[in-house]
Amino acid sequence: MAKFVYVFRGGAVLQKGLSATGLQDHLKLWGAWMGELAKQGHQPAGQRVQLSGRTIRGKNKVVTDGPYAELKDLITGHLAIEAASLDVATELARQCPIFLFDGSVEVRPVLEN
Amino acid sequence: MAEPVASGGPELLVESLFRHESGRLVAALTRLFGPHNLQLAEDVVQEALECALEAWKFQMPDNPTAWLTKVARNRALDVVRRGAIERRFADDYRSQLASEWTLAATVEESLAEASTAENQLRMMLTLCQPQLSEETQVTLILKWLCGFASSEIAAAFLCSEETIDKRLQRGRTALRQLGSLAPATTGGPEDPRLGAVLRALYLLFNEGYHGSHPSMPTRVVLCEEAMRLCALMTEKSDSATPQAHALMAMMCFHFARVAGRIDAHGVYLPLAQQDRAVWDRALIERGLSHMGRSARGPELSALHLEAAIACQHCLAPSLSATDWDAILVLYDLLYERNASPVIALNRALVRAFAGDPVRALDEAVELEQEAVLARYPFYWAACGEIHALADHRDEARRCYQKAATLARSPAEEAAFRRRAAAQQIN
Repeated sequence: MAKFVYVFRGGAVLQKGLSATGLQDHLKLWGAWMGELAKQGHQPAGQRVQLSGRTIRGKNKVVTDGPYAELKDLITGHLAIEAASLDVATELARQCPIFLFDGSVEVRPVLEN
Repeated sequence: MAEPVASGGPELLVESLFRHESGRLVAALTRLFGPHNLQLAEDVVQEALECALEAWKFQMPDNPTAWLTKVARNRALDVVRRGAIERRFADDYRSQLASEWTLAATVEESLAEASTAENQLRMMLTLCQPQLSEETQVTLILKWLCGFASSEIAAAFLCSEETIDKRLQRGRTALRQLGSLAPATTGGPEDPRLGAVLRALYLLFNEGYHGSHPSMPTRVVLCEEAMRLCALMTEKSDSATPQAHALMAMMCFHFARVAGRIDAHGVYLPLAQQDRAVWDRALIERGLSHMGRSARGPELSALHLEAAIACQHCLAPSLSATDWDAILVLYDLLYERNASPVIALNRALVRAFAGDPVRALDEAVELEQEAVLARYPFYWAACGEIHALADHRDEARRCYQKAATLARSPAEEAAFRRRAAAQQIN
């Protein structure tokens, strides 16, 4: 099994004013997707991140507050998983509910020594 | 380091959690901010729910309600501190919110789960403003106490989203005049606000139970919401009037029978064919307890009578063993209080079951003149039933066929066609 990292950008954060039921239905889809990854032995391990924070940039290490990207590029989480190949990891990511709200998933193999 | 995904799975996500939390938090915050700042309360709640989606997608917290409460508390404190000068908050909380000594404790108390029932009761009394129509009141309740979106309410009532938005706008305009939520202490059982709330809940329940939705004959969720909100009244001594208990009893007796009303094909079953074994006995017991508590005071209201009629059906072991004479007496009393054609029609049907289909038929034929009944499918279905009891098979079949052409949903239509066909076979 190889290790991969999914980087999530955008998603439901783009969609303002979803109804309470709409939000809950979407959360249920995430729960189902994560549950399936775990059940199939892909060992998902994620970290939630707040949508605000800081960026430090340049030689002068300038610190800026708040979102640093357009919402569609805003990182909304990352998840480590195990899969047999990049193709398998890609196919698993394609099932993620983030695409319902126009988000993206970047799939990156983890370098191992 | 990434944390392993722990046990906090989606099973913690109870049905309707977001919707109910939305209703709970909107009431708690409107109590503090004042009804004129309803939009502000809604914004804080929306933000908290959106935050929850992002935070919970990898892992549910152990206590979702506590999590949401904390986020809403922090946002509310921000809002109050930032708006301290230019905003006017609820009249009855202005001084507590103005001082840092009392601010946090006041916000926390209002958001505490222990305050939910009182907050929602006050919100409900506030939304049932006398100048608003009953449809508008129900719309506001569904929006701000039950957490439904305009599109969801429009789908439930089979009307356009625009109509719902107009009603919400009327509600917002009315609320803007108010400085604080209505007090939970009422002016006794005669308080007209209690009657307004009961009428709105009655309408909500009926829309769920007898509603006209084409694909969902019973919208269980509307019935459940009406019962949940009515319980807020019956559990608080001040608003637990005999009528509130009577309404609760009526809803329990009807809802107890919901499982038997529709067969595996989604077709309505006539009472005669319903499997009484699937009726919810615990709910019938609960209804009886409310009916007991409704028997106080001088007034035998229409709600009391409707509860008593539904109770008779629940307690009867079979259709033939039903005490139709007792039900007929109740219908006579109900008609005295509310001489509506629909009640007259039901009474005629009961009279036929009680053994006098000839007189029942006279009454039913006379009712054909009523404009509200002529295109009402149940008018023709009731005529069919009465004809069948009088052994007029051809007329019965024709009436059922007419009912089928007027049916509002496939479930209704299939039920009437099936009954029309049954007249031929036998």
